[in-house]
Amino acid sequence: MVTLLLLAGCEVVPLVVSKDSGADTDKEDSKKCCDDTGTDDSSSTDDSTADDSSTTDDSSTTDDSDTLPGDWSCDNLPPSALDDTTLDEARAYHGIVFDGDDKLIGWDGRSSLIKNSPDGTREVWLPGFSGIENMDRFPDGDIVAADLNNGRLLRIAPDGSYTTIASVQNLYGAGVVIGPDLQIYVADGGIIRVDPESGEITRIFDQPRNWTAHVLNFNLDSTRMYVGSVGNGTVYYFDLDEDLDPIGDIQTYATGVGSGWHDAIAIDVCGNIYVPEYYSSGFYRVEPDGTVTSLVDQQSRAYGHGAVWSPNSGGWRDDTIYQPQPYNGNTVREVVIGLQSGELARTWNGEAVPW
Amino acid sequence: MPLLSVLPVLPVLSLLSLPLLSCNGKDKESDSPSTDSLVTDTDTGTVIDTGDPEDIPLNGLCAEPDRWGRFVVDSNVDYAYISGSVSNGVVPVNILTEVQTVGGCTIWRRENPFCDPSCESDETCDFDGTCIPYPAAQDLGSVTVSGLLQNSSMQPVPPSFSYFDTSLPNPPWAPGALITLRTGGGAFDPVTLHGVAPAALQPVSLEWVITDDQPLAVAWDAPTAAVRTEVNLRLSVDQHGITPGSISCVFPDTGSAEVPAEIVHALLSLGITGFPAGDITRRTVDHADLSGGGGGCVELMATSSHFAQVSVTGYTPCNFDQECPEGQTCNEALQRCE
Repeated sequence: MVTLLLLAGCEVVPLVVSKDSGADTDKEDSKKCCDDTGTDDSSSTDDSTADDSSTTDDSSTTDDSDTLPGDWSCDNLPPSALDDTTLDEARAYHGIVFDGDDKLIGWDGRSSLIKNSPDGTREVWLPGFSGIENMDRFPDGDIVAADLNNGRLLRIAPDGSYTTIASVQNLYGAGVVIGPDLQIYVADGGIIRVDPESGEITRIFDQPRNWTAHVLNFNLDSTRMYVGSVGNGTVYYFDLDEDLDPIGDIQTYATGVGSGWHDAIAIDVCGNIYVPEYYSSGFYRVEPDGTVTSLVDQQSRAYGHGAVWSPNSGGWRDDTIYQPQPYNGNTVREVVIGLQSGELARTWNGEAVPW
Repeated sequence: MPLLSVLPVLPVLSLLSLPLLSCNGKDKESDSPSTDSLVTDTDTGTVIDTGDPEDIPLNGLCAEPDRWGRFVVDSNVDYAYISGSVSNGVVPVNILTEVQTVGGCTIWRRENPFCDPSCESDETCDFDGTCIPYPAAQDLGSVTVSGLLQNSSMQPVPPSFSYFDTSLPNPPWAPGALITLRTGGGAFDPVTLHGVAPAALQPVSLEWVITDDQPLAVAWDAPTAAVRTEVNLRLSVDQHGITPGSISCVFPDTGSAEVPAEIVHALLSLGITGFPAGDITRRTVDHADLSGGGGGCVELMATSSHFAQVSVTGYTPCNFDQECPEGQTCNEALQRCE
């Protein structure tokens, strides 16, 4: 059990979340919090960010003061990253995922998936891969991984066994996300949905003529999908129905999010999204009103080619995004955001998403 | 076609994604290792080879279209491991196109087959635009590796039927030792592959500077006696999919070599973008044809490998002006100072 500070669109709410099974109830609590403030969950906007006029409640801060470097809330965002360091001993290339034992897993740019610990130690977990890109984790502990060189999505079990979920043409490798419906969403220029059991592929968004869908994520109540691009530095979105199918045309969400090559989209509990952009070596926060803030010093070698929130235990910071650094020896960048992952507050059709 | 116009349709490629390549594949039929020297440790089931590492046949790489699988025993600065798997075919995208070969160095280009409509999820796209079944991983039974400081016996991990052992000491061998990998059967007839343990490669420098029209000289610890190993150097000046070519050289393990100026120029002519990368590996390579399962070829590599830090003279990778030398600005589209 770990204590969390959840900023779910109204007040700062202390929550206690079990790593294994307690998240359901806790997230429902956070949802109830929002409902109580009158936020409309059916809205196509990021409901959790609405009317966030609260101030930080000092009495609700976590018992681990190291995890929260400031009194940040949805209407009091840090002006930039609170800390930005390189974990020299960790290894990751274009993707990061945390396993159930609080290990940061990354491909080492050589041949193997590596398990990295917060104390700086690392161990070979699974050798034999010529190029693993983005990854995400199923609730059962299995990992979906983009095996770019073989053009396929793999499902890797904790015991190291793996299966091919599907062969994907134009698998870019960056945009691979498990949705709240436990389907896999992949940016392949457009967006496809992949059934992890049958491998069936359903296209939900065609590739546009003048830009490429490269990364994606869902908003907090799963009524919207954000789409990062290659082409023009614009983050787009489309609204989703209850089955997570697009409604209407794709829309511009924010412009000027770097120069044109987005490599990930992460979301915090306030509904802000975080986008690394390759051409500018930047890492940007995009607020729901479209405000774009550069969070880190822009150095080519230090560019973080991804964005994954840390888990809430095991010695990793819970207010921090971890990024692989393929141009810096395949090390890992630790960017302290000051807020927690939006995954902790995610809902779908009004129900908490327990993963 | 403007360079930028192709960016959205190119997948991100990594130099390190390239299969290790050379041109020295031999016909296994003529050099098939004798099994007379193989004995089995009845306690562990490991096949021990009493052959001579100085003359054991090493057959080099498979021909690419026939490479159905590979086993690797690697020692690097971080760790040592064994891994391998064999399928019943080749994923077409992994068959690279030879662009140019000079002095042991080849520029390889990765092609991107296109199928319309897209293939089913259990298929992959072939170069002729047709969809073919995705090669399926195969069970080879128990696989043993002997000649290491800690011999290994591996069972496949279904359904991927991958084999791996990450429990090896590092280095996992005594240099010069005969390494023998033996499959147990399964989908194919049993196969025996050999390697000779490479001494730990000690490059003189891992900071490589590439200059157009100039050879790239590299040096490493020269063996004091005749060895079975060769040295493979790989080089790319692109990390984001814009340049389609990479270099792979295979040199005799004599302590020094040059990437010919012609090859350097040809590579740079394909475009310089992003962040250069390279690696160098001392290795032995053996292969055997698979029988009893419809064809194919499997390799064994025994390797000692290093990453290199690569830069290109006159080319400063950048993403914004502040990263450029005084008097230059960053061409963001090409990611270089001009």
